[in-house]
Amino acid sequence: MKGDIYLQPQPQPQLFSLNLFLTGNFRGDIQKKRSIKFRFGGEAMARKTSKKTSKKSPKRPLKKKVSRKTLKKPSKKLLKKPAKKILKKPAKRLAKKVVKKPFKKPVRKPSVKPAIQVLPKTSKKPLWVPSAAVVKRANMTRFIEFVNRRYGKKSRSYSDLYQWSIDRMPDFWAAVWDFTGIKASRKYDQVVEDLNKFPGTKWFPGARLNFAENLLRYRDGRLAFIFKGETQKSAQMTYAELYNTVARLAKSLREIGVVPGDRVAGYMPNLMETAIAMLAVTSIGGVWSSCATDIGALAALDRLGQIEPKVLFSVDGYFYKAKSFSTLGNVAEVATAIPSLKKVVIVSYAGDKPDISNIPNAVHYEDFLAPEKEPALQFEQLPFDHPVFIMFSSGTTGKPKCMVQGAGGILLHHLKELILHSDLRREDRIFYITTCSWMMWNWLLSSLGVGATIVLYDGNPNFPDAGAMWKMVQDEKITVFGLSASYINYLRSEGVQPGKMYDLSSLREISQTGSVLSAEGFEWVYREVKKDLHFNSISGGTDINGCFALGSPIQPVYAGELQGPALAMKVKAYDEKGKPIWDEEGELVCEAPAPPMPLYFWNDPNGEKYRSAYFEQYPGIWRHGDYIVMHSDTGGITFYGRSDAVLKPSGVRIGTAEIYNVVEKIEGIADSLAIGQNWEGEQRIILFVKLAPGASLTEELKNKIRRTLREQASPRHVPAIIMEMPEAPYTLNMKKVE
Amino acid sequence: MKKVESAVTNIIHGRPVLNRDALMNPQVLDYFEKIVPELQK
Repeated sequence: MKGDIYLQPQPQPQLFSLNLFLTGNFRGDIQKKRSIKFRFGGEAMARKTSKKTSKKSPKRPLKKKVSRKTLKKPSKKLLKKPAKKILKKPAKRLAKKVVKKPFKKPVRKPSVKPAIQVLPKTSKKPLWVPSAAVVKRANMTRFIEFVNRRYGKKSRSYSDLYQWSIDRMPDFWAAVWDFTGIKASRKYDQVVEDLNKFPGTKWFPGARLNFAENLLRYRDGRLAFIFKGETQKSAQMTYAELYNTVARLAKSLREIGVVPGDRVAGYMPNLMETAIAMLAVTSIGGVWSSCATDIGALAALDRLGQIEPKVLFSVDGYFYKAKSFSTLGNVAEVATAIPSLKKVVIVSYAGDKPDISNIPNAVHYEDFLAPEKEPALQFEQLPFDHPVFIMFSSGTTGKPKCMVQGAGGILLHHLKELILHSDLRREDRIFYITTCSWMMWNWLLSSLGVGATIVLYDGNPNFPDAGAMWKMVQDEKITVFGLSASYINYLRSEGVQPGKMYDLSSLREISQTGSVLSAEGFEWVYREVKKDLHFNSISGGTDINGCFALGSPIQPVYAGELQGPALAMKVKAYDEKGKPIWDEEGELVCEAPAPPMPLYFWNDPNGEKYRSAYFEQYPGIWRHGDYIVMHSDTGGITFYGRSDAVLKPSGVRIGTAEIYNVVEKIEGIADSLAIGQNWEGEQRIILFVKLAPGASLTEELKNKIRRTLREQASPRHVPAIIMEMPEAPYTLNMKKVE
Repeated sequence: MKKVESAVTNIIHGRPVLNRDALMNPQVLDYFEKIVPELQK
């Protein structure tokens, strides 16, 4: 439906003639003055940086719904004149600076193929537009050039590249393989065996590689880790030290009989030793699985107990809000209940070699580590789909599901996201507020493959105060800071102004995930943290250890929108009939397979649990369980909460985040929870609110909630009943963020 | 960390909550169980 609009040429605004890049550009026809203005800035900048760059809108519907043929005619007619005019002015200007090649080429090309040259038609104002310098040096830009050279493509923008990535998936993944420099002792026979077999696609058959080897490419004096604990405990480790420590630990693990395919579990804080253990295990071809020490013994057993690990890594204790917690009791409980365990390795963190005699088969980490300084590190060469991690679902609908993920798929996907979407490089210092219960820990550690420095933090991120993490960004010169929506909302409620309090000059990107962040949350970042940074809001899942939608460092950021679908992830929003829709809320689906998707679920011999988790609703299509809007104007994606929580008052579907975004801004409301109650043949919305200290749920406040929802959302969003609650139920995994 | 609407929805419709251990704060469900009668009118 959106495509239709492009078919109706409208008078061209005057501005048009100023803008070279709008010419040859079908988009110009349909734009209003206002929207052209700001776009021009961003586009022009982007253009300067790369001769080949051009704009094409991230817009899918156009391509889908309007054939090139239909577009060609009107565009030729319309664009002839302006194309000439425009050639003159900006071409001169640009030629002076960056452009070496004659400008003719790129200008003419678009007029030949106008159908793909549509820029966002939007009156939305971007919160951030990448500077020419950023675009020019971006890995994404280099990758576009790499693909263009190799495949003879003429992609000029993220959306060009995205379209190619889903049209030519095998070429795309082969390009990522080479661009990210995957180390493999045997190259693959083919990229993918059967792309139509979904689930069940086999990626890169024939390849032999090792996950840890690809993360330990560097062995020099640069810092691999900076560890900070809230108790001032701090430590560092170079890449050379990391390599050697992994070698020592791997040797010990081999000596006690760990072989490829054995599970090894971590019940650990976010320490360097946790990462070292993961690397040592995966160097042997063992399968790593972890959860943080802040979850209780029963919850840990619910997860780690299922996968029958041979070895368990744990710790004597940890610190939280300046208090020390012993974990030895929990570890003893867990270790006793898992008969498959041959060894329990205890790291001394809270104390110094405490008594561990009540834990079966326990040994101190220092004593377990092989004594040689630099034993040879042998990286087991294994197939692309050899398992590397077992991740757990949240478990809110039963025992946590154990998702088995493949080494090659995770590696390739992480490097794609880190290098392309987060623009990561060696000189970066990357930090994420996470624990080893959460997939962001696995994701973060893949930064080692880029040779960047990873900052690990264990403890409460708001200790001793809400500025703690920002002080760390300042002191450690962190360049990429990862956080969650709930952390941002906490800072907002506390009135924290990180940009005023700390020197954040090193910071170039904030990566945000965890749950839905409102448009106001985006605005807060640019207002209170820093004006010039890439706010990379990302969303995906534990299931794929990565993202379906996220940012691109060469595109503008709009409030409340993730910048677009991830490269090679064929993401759509489906309506209830399973038809793709734009600009309306729908179910997030992925129409094609991707390497990071789980190989299988543990203890699911027939693949029944696997199929019912993703493929039940639409056969052959991955249904993720998120409720989203894909914007046809910007190409961005807004998330509206879990689709299993979608409300349907009078049959109209409403994402819960639409309500939370409005209600949680109201003074006196600390948190909220909306559910649908079946009532007299229909559904009515019940809204629970957690009040801020000192507030009470008066009629006046209830009226305010109703009025605000009616005005800022719609009358359908107004709940039938508003009640107080002490707090909302939350999943376990990110406890520490609060 | 995510809100678990489904746990409260289940309680309000008299269905069992499948896994309390997966919650950070399972004790809060007791409150929702208590107020169920108020939502039947």
